[in-house]
Amino acid sequence: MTITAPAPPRDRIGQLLHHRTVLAGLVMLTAVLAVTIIGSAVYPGDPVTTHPLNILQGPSSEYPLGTDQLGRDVLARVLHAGLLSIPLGMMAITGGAIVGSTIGLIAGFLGGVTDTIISRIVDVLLSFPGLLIALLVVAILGPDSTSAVLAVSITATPSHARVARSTVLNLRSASYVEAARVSNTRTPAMLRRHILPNVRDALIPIFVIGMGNGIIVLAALSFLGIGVQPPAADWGVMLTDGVRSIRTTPLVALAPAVMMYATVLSINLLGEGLGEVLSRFRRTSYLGAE
Amino acid sequence: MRIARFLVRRVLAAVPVVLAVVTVTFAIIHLVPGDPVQVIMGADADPQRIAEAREALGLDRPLAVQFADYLGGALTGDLGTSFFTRQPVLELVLEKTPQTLQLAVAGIGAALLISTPLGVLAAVRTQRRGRKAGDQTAFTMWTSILVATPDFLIGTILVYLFAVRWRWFPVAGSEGVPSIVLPAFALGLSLAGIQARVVRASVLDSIDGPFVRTLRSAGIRERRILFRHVLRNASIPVLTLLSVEFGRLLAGALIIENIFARPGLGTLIVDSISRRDLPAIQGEILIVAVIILVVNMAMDVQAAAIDPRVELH
Repeated sequence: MTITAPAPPRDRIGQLLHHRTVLAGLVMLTAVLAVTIIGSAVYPGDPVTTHPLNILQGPSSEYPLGTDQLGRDVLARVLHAGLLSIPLGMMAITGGAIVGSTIGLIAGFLGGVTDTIISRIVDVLLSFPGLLIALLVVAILGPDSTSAVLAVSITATPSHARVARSTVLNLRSASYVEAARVSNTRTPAMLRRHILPNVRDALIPIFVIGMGNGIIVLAALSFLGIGVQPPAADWGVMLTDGVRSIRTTPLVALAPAVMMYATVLSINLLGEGLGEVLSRFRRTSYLGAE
Repeated sequence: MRIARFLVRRVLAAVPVVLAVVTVTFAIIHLVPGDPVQVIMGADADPQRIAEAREALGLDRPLAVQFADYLGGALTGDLGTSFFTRQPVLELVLEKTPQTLQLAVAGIGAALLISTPLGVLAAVRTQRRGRKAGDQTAFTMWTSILVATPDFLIGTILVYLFAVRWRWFPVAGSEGVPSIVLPAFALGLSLAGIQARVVRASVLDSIDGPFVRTLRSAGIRERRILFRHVLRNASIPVLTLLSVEFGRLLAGALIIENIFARPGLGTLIVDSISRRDLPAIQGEILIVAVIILVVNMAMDVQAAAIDPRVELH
């Protein structure tokens, strides 16, 4: 007889969407993405052309959000910057998440010396803020967008490693896994049916919240002048320009700030909501109740 | 005596971490892709001067000797010389550290100023409404608006509202008390969100506790119970939280300084990275890491001193 974990509650998607926080985050995120993607495709303004005669203008029919200190169209810039900030941040975190989860899974499965070494390194990394580690990486690789993305990836690695490892460790001692083991479930089946779904559910919220964080750290590096380099512009680069002219044309700074805030807030709401719902799923599967 | 033993154990536990940090900062100069001296001096530097610089930085010696030298220097306070300003790195860093710490402390103050009333009011409200289950979720959702607020973004928005629009505070600079108000709130706001949750939870924990019942039956007024006893109890988890979050707060201060043009460690590190002043970066990152470790340790010891229940392991 093979004992399997109880099937997850029917219609997980339905349960997720039912949660207020998840729904709020999802709606906001969709709106932000739609504005960025559709907006940058539809809006005819150009983000890089300078208009020396029209610098630091307020909103007008020609430039709905005004122009910056080089006379560039702020609306066009904020839309196109989103096309850089969002994918780069997500890419960076995805990379870090894959590497980190793999390391964590290895540590959890192998145990022993491997686990001790990996856990010690993860502990040390986690005792310092991500930004400090990102600064370290950028200091080594030199200030440009590639090193910034890599730096953000590395900041996401330890948290994923820790969660993946601790989930595996918890599962190894869970009674239903033990039951599956004594009833001769093969390793691949064990992984597929019992271990990986739980690890996935534990990692999803970390990953989603990590994305918000990744977008912030990346923009912070660009804002400091050691990330994306002008003339390319993400929200961080725009913010640097905007802060300089905040007395005369505050929109240059406020436009990227608001867009970024909306993005990060929606991602965080989504992540926190997912965390709540998914932990509910996991709890039912631990107790074997449905 | 109990605290002293705890302190010793805590310091011993930190030794390997400090060694790891020293090793990593030492490695910075060796991990740079290509020739670090070429990177520092620029691609078209004179080969003669590059050779001189390599010797001055000690890069021509065996790696083990370099590491021993670096470790010895770090322990005795010799962090090398900035390649750009020719000043000792330790001097550069110590000159800017007070400004950054000042901002971090002000940020903690701002966070407490927001989170304490927010957390207490939320707890009292939950209590009055009979501890409904949804209250916690709702509070988490509202505070996550604060938590999700990136400090440098809120900094920009605060500058716009309070400095440009209403002109209550200066836009930038580091002169006088008013200049630190906006940076402090920018820094403290996201911390305040997490703190408010902790305050609410621990007030709820003790508001019905046995000691509160005792106080109540002794006829102590509610207000006094709340402020003198319940809040004091809540200060322990808040302190623990501060210990955990201090690193992030300090990192936030490094960015906030750049928004408000406040000279400090943040502006120093960014300048060094832009100039590729590798010896300076090594020392700066080392000091920031050590500050974080020391503060964490101090807060843990403080928590142990306040709360006799803290396990001293």
